[in-house]
Amino acid sequence: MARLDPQALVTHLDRLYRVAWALCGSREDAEDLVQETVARVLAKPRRLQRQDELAYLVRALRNTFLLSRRTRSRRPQEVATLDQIEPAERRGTGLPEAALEARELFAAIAGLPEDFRHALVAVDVAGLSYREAAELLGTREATIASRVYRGRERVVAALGSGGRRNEADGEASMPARSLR
Amino acid sequence: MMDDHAEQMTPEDDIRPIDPPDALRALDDVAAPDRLRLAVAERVAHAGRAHGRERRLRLGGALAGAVAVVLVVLGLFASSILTDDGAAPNVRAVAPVALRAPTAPAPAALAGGELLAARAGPIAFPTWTRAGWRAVGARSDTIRGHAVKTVFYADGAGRRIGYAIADVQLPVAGGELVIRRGARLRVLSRGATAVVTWRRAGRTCILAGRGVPVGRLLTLASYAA
Repeated sequence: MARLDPQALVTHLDRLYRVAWALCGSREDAEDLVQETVARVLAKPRRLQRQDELAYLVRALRNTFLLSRRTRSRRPQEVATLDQIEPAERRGTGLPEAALEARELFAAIAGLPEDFRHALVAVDVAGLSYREAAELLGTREATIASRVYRGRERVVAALGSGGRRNEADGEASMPARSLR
Repeated sequence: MMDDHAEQMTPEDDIRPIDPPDALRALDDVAAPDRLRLAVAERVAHAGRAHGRERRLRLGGALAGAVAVVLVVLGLFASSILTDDGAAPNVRAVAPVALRAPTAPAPAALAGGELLAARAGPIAFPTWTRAGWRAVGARSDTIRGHAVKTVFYADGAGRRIGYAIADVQLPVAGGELVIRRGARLRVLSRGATAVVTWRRAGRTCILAGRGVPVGRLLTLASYAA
């Protein structure tokens, strides 16, 4: 049984960060989630069971997310303040439009119904195959395909309505997007 | 929650992966912030040092056992070098390099616009701009004593591929042999990762990408092979 190389955490960091952002809906929560996952994974040697290292790390991240969400639900709710509003993403392409587009995308994914969201995150954000996603989520490949399809439709619809709203508000509209 | 009726509307027999909508491709441009990158790298390095200390302590307490293990390993190594061609890594071991992050800026394009100012022996890396790709970075690695040079490319949708050239003919097992424009290419894939490999001038060329259709890799490889 292969052992997980801790360096895989560095190699797949960008992808894990994207998965975390898509699950949490917020960049700051995503950073916390990645840090917590890294700490848990590094706490002891890990062995890969039939899966590749990315699938293993995505599973670890998802488990940490579910655990932290359960823990948080038992705490009093906090209200977000203006200080917590995120600044625009500074990395990536470096273009403000691209940063805005990414934030809207993550917000749209985070707003999906849970089953659609987890399927879409596993396939489109993490890059897992349908089979790997089905193993991760404990369901059939056909169900994953269906959920990914529906999730994509809803994300594209959400982005389309966001663009129209911006135009109505007099703000810069998002570039046109289309289903291929 | 889930709408069970909606789930049944898609034919469940058809589970072939299809490309995500263009809108979702913007996700590939999002990188982890530098502070997170530094924090994770530091944690990984720290864990490596801590595990190293634990390992040394365990080894010190079980020296006799370790000697036995070393003898077994030496025996296995001796038998392996009798059957292996110089302990060269194989294509599957080298291909992940083409999926890693660049460590150097993209090489400049040479006059004419077809080739980059980066070579692996006699092979110059292409620009592939006519095919819709542009060089975005590079890295150099040494894997079991063999130099591997990689140039990374991105397309307009933000998808990234890596073209690695190893200075040796690497063994490759499995996969599917494809002839494209006369070039003999071998396709290996795992999950969303596709790898196309071929040999040229005594070297092994590897083109790899995640979420990039194999057909696009094959087309690029056929230009370079």
